[in-house]
Amino acid sequence: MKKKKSSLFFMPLIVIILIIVLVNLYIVLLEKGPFTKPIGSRQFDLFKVYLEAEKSLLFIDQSAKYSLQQAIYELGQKGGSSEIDIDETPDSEYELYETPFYSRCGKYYGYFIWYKENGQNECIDENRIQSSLIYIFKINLDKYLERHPTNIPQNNYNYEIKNGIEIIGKAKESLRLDILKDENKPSAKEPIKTSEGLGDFTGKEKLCRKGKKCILASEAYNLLEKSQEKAAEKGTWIEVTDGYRSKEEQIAIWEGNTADNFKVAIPNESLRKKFVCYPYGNDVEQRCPHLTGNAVDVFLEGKTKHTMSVADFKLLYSIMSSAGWVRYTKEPWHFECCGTKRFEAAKAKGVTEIGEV
Amino acid sequence: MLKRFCQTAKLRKKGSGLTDFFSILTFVLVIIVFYGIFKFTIGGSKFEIGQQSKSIEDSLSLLSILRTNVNVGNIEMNIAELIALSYSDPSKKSNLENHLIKVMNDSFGASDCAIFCIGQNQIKTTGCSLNTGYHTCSSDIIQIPAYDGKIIEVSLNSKIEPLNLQSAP
Repeated sequence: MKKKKSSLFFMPLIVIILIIVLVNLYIVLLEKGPFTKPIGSRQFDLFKVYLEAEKSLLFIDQSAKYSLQQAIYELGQKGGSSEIDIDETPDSEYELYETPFYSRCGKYYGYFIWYKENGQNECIDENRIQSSLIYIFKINLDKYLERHPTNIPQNNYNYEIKNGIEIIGKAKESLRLDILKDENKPSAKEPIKTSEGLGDFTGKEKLCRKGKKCILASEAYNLLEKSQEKAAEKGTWIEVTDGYRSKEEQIAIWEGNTADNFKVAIPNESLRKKFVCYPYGNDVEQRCPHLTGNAVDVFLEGKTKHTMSVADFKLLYSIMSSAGWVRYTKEPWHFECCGTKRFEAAKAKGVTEIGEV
Repeated sequence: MLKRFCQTAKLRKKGSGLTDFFSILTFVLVIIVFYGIFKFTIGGSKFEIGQQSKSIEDSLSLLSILRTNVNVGNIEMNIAELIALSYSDPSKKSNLENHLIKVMNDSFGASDCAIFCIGQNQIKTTGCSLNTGYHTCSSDIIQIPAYDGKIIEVSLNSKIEPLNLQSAP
């Protein structure tokens, strides 16, 4: 068979084309990164995330069961408990927790009297028993959830009691689980931008308390990072337990649609305004600093308002004020910055701590 | 003239054969070189679908078992609660084992071997015998709360094949 002259170049041409194709393929694949994820692994990751959610739900269900049993026991022991007691309002703001609820019949050996001998309910308000039960239940549930290795949101349920002691909790926010884990995710150092333009740093270790929702305005977040550096210099760290709240969330607190149920605990509105920010009106953002994203509730590492000593609060104050925050006198864990009404008033006076303005 | 033509044709034929030979050699070399480059720079990883799906199946079975209701002394509770109860009251351990083995036998069949681990303690189905050998607990654990708030870690290793002792040397 006679070969044409052009056939001489056929094979070399094939080799050249092959080299070009392979080099291009190499460049394209190199840009996509190393193949650490084989085909099918992403699908398995999805299954695993589903399982993680199921595992967390089982943990929450079990925790809720034990919390209710414990809450009934504790309620019986203490004879009621609520965050704020209007009849025995403590003098010191430090004591604003777990003050016993009021019984018109007084106490007997330290326990509140619920009923008199005639069996008539003259002593207590039935509504406050329910709100006390929910309050103790919530505290117990949060203690369980705090122990779970993942970040299960705490204080995340709207409760209602049905059929006596059946508590139904409806989650306000869904569990958030990462499917992509670390890949294609913004750097863990940077907060995620919310639709309101605020920074969400929920789950950030050693800055946001486990299980808490942490959202702040960017200027406040930067100031908080500065505070964390100051805390590190003093051999400790600070944790945020509350930051930005939406207006709806503030309304829910005011209207008693949270486990604290302030509406039942303090039915008198003018008295309730002393403890809970009134969420209505045009000047709501000026009066309720949490709505601006420029107010935080912070504590030292792992501590709560129950376990913070006076020395701890002093240390916290020095850390936060040196970073530029202003403390609200009535709540030593509450700090504000960046143009809130209290912050501006404190700056005008040249102080780093201020009360009502 | 004819002689010269024949010589040229012979050369061309010889040249064509050489070109083909070197082209194929280069082709093979290019494939080998790029195989090496792809393997070592872009890489890949071992991925065993069988192992992955078994782990998921075990987790799902474990979740079902933990949610299964049993009757303990006229009190209805699920296995997760019974585990928590036996954790705080060791006298309930035999109760837990009996219920758990029954539930697992129902789930996997009495002839199959499955191991339920609570911490380092293993509870085996009746299908497990000497020839299933020793098996460790699965690494895919589920955390459940104890009454005192501590975390109890449980896992499941199911479908354990018997050892093939005959083929052993």
